[in-house]
Amino acid sequence: MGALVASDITITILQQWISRGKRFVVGTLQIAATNTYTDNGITLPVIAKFGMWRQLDVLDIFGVDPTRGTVADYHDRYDKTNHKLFLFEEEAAAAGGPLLECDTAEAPGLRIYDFLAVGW
Amino acid sequence: MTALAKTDWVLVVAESGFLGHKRYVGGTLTLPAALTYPNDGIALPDIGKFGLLRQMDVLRLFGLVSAGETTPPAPLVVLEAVAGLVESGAHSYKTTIITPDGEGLPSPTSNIVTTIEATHGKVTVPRPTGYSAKATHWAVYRTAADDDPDVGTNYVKVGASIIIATTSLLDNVADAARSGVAPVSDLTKAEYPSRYDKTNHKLFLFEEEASAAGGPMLECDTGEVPGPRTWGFYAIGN
Repeated sequence: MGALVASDITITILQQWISRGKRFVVGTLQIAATNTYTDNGITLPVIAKFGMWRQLDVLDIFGVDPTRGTVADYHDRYDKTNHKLFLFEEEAAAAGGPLLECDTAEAPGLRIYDFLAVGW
Repeated sequence: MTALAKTDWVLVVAESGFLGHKRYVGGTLTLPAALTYPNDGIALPDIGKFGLLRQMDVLRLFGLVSAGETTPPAPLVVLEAVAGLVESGAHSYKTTIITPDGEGLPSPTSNIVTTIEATHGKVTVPRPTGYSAKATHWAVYRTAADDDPDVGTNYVKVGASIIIATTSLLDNVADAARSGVAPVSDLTKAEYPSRYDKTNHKLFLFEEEASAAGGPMLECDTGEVPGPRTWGFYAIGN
């Protein structure tokens, strides 16, 4: 299996609108099956795929497709500086403490998240 | 115990407005105590309850609301020289403060009093000090006669919650008439990640597993009791 790259992430825009100088986009983010988590975050498709021209200020993954990812899930954070998606997981024989970043053997797909993006 | 249903939520819409042609709503969602997580997500209140008419595009739980109270100091209780129903033996007490957001953690253990039903069977418990303006009630928890005062679950509630204006409680309650153990942990110290299932208008909660095998968190099991718990939320829709 290869490591997940931007081309393994499919962004589908469902709705978009503009309010007070910002673009708001609601859509889905699909992580392809079989490929594995990339250390230091999964590189996301270019911001134009999210409906933005200049910058992506907020990427909030709030929902999940009920057929793709409700039985188990990861904690996520958006790395705005590097435009990457970090996933965190529970550890085997956990020592307690924060969730650790997914290891590179983890295959998080096939998984479809709902997102809200704000930017321009 | 019964599984959580959409009618169990307490939904408070605190603010609303427009983002372009979309409606934005913010508020709190509260889960009550003693109900269990249902498999395949908790059904949410109808979108009309959120102030939306046709659809909910985004639902994000982003905040948590605690009782917001500091732990009260250890109460100094007074054994009264009158007959009463508090079983003969050694007893100790804890108190809590209650706000509209929930019940805070119990105080440290009080002094120990030794009751004799025929002659010293009642105990006066003073109202805790140091509560905030949000406090509405306080509550008293007591051990049974000669129970270990160092075991948190030995503290069982005496009577109903007491309005905050009442300055003391005269405990005249038999051990068997007590009901409800003291809170043993602050719900803000443990949390579930959540996802909104837009298709079915449900909320999924995930948890850490005992004997984890590693990998993603699993959906809560059906024995989990996630409430009482209050989250802040925002929703976008039409």
